[in-house]
Amino acid sequence: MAGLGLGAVYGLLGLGIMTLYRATGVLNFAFAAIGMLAVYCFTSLVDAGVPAGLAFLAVVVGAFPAGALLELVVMRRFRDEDQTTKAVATIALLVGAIGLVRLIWGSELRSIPQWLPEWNVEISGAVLPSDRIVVLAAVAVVLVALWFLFTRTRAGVALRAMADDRSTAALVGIPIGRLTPLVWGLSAAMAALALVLVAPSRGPDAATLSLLVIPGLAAAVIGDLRSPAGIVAGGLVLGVIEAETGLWAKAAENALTVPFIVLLAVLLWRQRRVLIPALEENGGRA
Amino acid sequence: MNGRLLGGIVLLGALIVAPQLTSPFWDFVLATAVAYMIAALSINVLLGQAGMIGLFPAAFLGLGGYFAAVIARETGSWLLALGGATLVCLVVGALVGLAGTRLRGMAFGIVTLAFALAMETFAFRHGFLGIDPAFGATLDRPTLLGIDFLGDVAVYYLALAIAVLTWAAVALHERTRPGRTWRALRDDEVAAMSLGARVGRYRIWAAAVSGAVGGVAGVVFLTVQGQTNVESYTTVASLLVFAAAMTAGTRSVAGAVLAGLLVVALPELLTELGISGEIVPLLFAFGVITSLKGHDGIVGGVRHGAAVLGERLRRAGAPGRPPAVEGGAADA
Amino acid sequence: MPEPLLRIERLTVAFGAVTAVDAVSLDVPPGGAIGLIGPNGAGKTTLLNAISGFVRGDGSVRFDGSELIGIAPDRRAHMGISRTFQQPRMFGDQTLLDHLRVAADHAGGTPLAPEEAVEAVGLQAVLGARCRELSAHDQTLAEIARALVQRPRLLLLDEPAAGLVPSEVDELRVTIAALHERFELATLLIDHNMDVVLGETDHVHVLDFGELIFSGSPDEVRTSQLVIDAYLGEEWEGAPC
Repeated sequence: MAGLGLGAVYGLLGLGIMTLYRATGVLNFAFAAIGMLAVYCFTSLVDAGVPAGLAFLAVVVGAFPAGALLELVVMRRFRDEDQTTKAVATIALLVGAIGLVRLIWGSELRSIPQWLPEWNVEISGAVLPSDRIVVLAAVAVVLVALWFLFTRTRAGVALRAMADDRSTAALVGIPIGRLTPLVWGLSAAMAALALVLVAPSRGPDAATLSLLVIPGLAAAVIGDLRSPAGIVAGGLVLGVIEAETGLWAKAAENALTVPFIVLLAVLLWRQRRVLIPALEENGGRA
Repeated sequence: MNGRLLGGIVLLGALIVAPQLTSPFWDFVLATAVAYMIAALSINVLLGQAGMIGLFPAAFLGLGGYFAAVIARETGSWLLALGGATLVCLVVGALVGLAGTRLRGMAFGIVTLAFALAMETFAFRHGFLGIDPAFGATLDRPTLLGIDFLGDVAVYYLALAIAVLTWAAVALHERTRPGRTWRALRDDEVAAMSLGARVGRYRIWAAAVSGAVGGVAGVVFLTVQGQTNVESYTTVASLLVFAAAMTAGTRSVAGAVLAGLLVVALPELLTELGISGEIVPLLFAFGVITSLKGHDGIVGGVRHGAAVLGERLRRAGAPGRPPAVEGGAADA
Repeated sequence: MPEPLLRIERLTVAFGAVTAVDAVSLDVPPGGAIGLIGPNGAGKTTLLNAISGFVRGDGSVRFDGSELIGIAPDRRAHMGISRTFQQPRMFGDQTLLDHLRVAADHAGGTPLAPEEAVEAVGLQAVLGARCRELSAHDQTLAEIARALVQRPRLLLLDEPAAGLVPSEVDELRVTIAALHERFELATLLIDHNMDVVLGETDHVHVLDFGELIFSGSPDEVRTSQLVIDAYLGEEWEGAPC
């Protein structure tokens, strides 16, 4: 079950991508890149002598205003554009984030502190390392928190309305202008959480970490960008397949072809229902 | 129309004399830039003409180079290598394009990005076609028609000749039925379909042509470099070429030329000026954001500016004349 | 009785829980001019989309004897069904001539010369202009010209008079009236402008909440209490679309 920890992180990435997409219509290619920036900040903090736990908390909390700021400074101007334009704008963010890291931290690899406590838990014969338990626990916490937010708070209900239909949401008085940066903040914090958890096992390369968005997108697509349970399950399945094929091909990185095949299959499968999306968006009534 | 022709002649003239004006170091840089001009042209075909988002230019740069290296190794012929690698990339592009018959907009973008990552890891990082990833692909500079293209200046002109032929082919294709249909799909796919256009076929063809152009770029790139490594073929490299093409403009050859210079020459230029070349991706990010909200990249912006200026001059010169209707169209 | 050009039988189109078109049956004879009216949201455009193939429907749509359900929009165009759109869908960056060339490229049979098509709608003067620079009125006419290039046997017109000033509407009526004789085609015309529909068609169907509530000659429609009620409802409670 080597892929469970990784799969949980994929699920976490997929959940963050879904949250932003549902509320703002932005399919964020820079999602993992935002978390990657948090990883670099985390490493710098630890290098400067800050305790790892505190540094972790600092970057996850700090990602919130950073994400909101990103929306206000850059993405705000794309609020009324179509989804493709929004997504291409996030490709610019992805390229910019990688550039920023290389500009500030240089391109030589940095070691990421192994900060999670290391012990093994044995459950009926299967050995589960502690870092995987932490990741799985984090996914559970995020799921519960998202469920609470979207079903039990006024802001969450407003976000769901926004996700269903932005113009109707605006008509009934939901403050889209104020909520959009908050969602960006929330999703940035989720990205920071996911990436700081996975970075020690994935290596400290800006490109590698940023491109974790691809398995994240694959998990999100498996859940139809709609179903949290489907996304987490999709992430876990991806992680396990990846770990298994990695063993089989004797080259762990070959496993990164898995998201391509899964994405292709799932997207084609889903797309077969929609003939012309542009015409069905308004329910075809006019 | 005449303005475009004149612009093309000036551009070509500048590209022809460029190596005469610079130091030997720049000959090599410019020859490499020409390869990336062709790679940017593959984005022009797919995004600028057909309106499809393909985040995979570096993957075809690699595929073209790898297949050229293998064919040259087996046959000893550089021309066969060029033709064969282009053909392979045409077919691979068509296969990826199959996904584009069903997938629209960003869904196709995701698949192409995943394809780039899959190629990077599966092909370029782990040995492919018997090429050791530690050494990369190699290709000797050729002797053609009794002329040897071993020097940097000579290989620059070889690269430029192939680039011009590719541009000519793409420009001619633009006036054909598939070229017209691509632009129709780009502007309004539903309308194109209502006119009986078999949308799926044209989308496959667009990805195939884009792949082939990217493959040509890959052969030229490897010919100039002699030997390449995986870093040129990564997913991030694909994203950079894509962003550079959007920054420069995806609807004109001038945009592709500028994009090639932005990718290769700009970092060198900045380094000579004492500025870190690492700032380039940030500039591209800014360029994409600006292009999305404005005209078609730098070239589109300049053209629009020139059109507005020309309009003002014309009005100032001939008072009382009704304004022409061309102004807003110059960024096409 | 010979089979009509288009025969729709019990066509139903549903979007999730909403039934936009509910078991509608109607015929379009060869060369006929059929009108379709109804309040906002009655399913008129959906019906047109189902005929041209852009939404899926259940039931039967037969054109010239062959079943269309399950056939893609591009093939329906090749069979001789052309349409215009409520919001003109033009290839903005291209000239009208290029635009018509695309239509000619993909025609099912021998296309009409672009020059002849623009002449039929009176757009000769703007053949070289870019489509996005055309006025709304000219774009509507350009869409009709684009359809004519393909020599359709059935032309579906989706609210061509929307957004036009009265003098333009009059010109449009003259243009549409002339099409039947000159090009031997049948039309199915949707419009909110009752004068246009009742004046330019031989037979009118009235749609309300996806159902056909009335069919008859323009004169019968004018005096039908059912139709008046449907439209009174629209006038007082008409929701924005």
